[in-house]
Amino acid sequence: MAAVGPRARTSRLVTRDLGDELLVYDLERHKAYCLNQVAMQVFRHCDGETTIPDMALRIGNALGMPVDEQAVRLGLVRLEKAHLLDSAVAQILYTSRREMLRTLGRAAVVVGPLVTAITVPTSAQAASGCLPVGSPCTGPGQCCRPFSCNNSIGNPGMKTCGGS
Amino acid sequence: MRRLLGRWLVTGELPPAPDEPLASLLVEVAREQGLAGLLHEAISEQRVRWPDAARLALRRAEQEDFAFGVRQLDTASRIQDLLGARGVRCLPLKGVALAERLYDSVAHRPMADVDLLVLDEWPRAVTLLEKAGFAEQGQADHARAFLDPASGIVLELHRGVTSCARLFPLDLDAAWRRSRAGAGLVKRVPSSEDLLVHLSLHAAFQHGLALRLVQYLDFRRLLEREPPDPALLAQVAVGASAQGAVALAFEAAHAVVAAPLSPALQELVTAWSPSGLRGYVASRLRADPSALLAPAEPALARLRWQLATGRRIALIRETLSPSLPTFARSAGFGRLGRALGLARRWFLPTVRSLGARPQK
Repeated sequence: MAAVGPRARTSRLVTRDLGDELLVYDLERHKAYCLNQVAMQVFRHCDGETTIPDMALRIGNALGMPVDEQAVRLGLVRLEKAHLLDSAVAQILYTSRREMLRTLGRAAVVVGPLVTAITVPTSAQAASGCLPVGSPCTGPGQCCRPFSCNNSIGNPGMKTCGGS
Repeated sequence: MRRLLGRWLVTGELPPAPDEPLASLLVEVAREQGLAGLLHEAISEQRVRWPDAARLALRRAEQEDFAFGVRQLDTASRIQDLLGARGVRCLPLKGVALAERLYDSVAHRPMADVDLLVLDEWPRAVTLLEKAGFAEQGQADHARAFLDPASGIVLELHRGVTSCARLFPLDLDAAWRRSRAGAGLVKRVPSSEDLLVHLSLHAAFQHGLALRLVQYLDFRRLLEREPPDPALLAQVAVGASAQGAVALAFEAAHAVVAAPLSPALQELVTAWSPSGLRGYVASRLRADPSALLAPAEPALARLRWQLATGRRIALIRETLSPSLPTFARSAGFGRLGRALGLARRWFLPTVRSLGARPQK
């Protein structure tokens, strides 16, 4: 029987649950992602059985806040883009995507399922322990040369590695 | 800061609500000591109030260490497959052997590179890696470093655990028989007893006990979670002439991170402790164990000299002109240059250590 709901990829993925986010490493493509709570819940409920409306209900219960179907669809699109879903769900997503595009802005404002790529440092950076440009930092000497730890533009109180 | 982090590892008590400058320094030192991921987890679990910038820096460090660590373990796994398919056995050393075994996440055991010990034909292993596109980055007498162009990961292919590897002969076939399947990406890992001997040699002989905190934590977790069979540990250590290194490393791990030593292990430590170093090590461990931590300058020549008791001619010979074929035989000015370089690196800290009194 064909799956009625989207199914998450399970093979060649390494995951690490940090409580409020999920780190995922894709051993096929050698990419790493950070899923926020909503995206993590969407990913977890992609068992091939749960439909999108059911998913929205269950995720809302798990998070203790209303989550609408559009947010789930947005999460699925982002998971699919990161190749974290089985290709068998492409059709489910395709029919949903047109609808999703119409309501993308509204859903994104309500709940934001985020799938963020993690920058994998090079061996040289890891060995030196320095932070690459754009990384949050707290003091001098943490950033890879020639960058320095400066106040972040638009984020008062936050510092990031950037031009000196 | 290192002392604060060491105390946290021993007692589990985090510094309460540090202000921003202190938190910033702790984050920096936690990264240096390989503890950023563990510190991030502890702060989240204990719900300690920390400045947002510090929390974010720790979170980012854990994310990067996770991604980088998985990539490293995957590289180790691919190389085990590559060499294994051609009949060349290899076993992981240090972080690669421990990350999946002793830590909840690879992010909690960051490592600079991937270390693999080749058990069979060394030249063939090197050729296989070169044919697979790995580019040599450098070499020492006991290992060669390669860059995997596909992943950007640095691999250290070892034919010995330390420099002067002939001083510490390992029974590689026995180590393979004692090894077991890995729990995750890494295919095969050494036994607890073999690992403890490898870690001890690396800690005492290679680095003069100047390790990062997370490397001392390796000892504690291994002793806690996979307590070695004392008789087997003794057999492996005696076979590798590594008794002195094991005694020093266990003693230091006990002092720095409260690594548990059972009465049987304590007995071995007492019996094996190099007599020429007892006073030196005891006074430093009593005064301030955290002074041992990297990037401290160890009295490497002194430790190596004492650890090579009974084999000092071999130590000098192997140091000045390594006999392993990974290192091109040096002669004349080459040997003199190497001797001067080593003197600057090892003997000066040793001379300083003789004059310096341990801090109270």
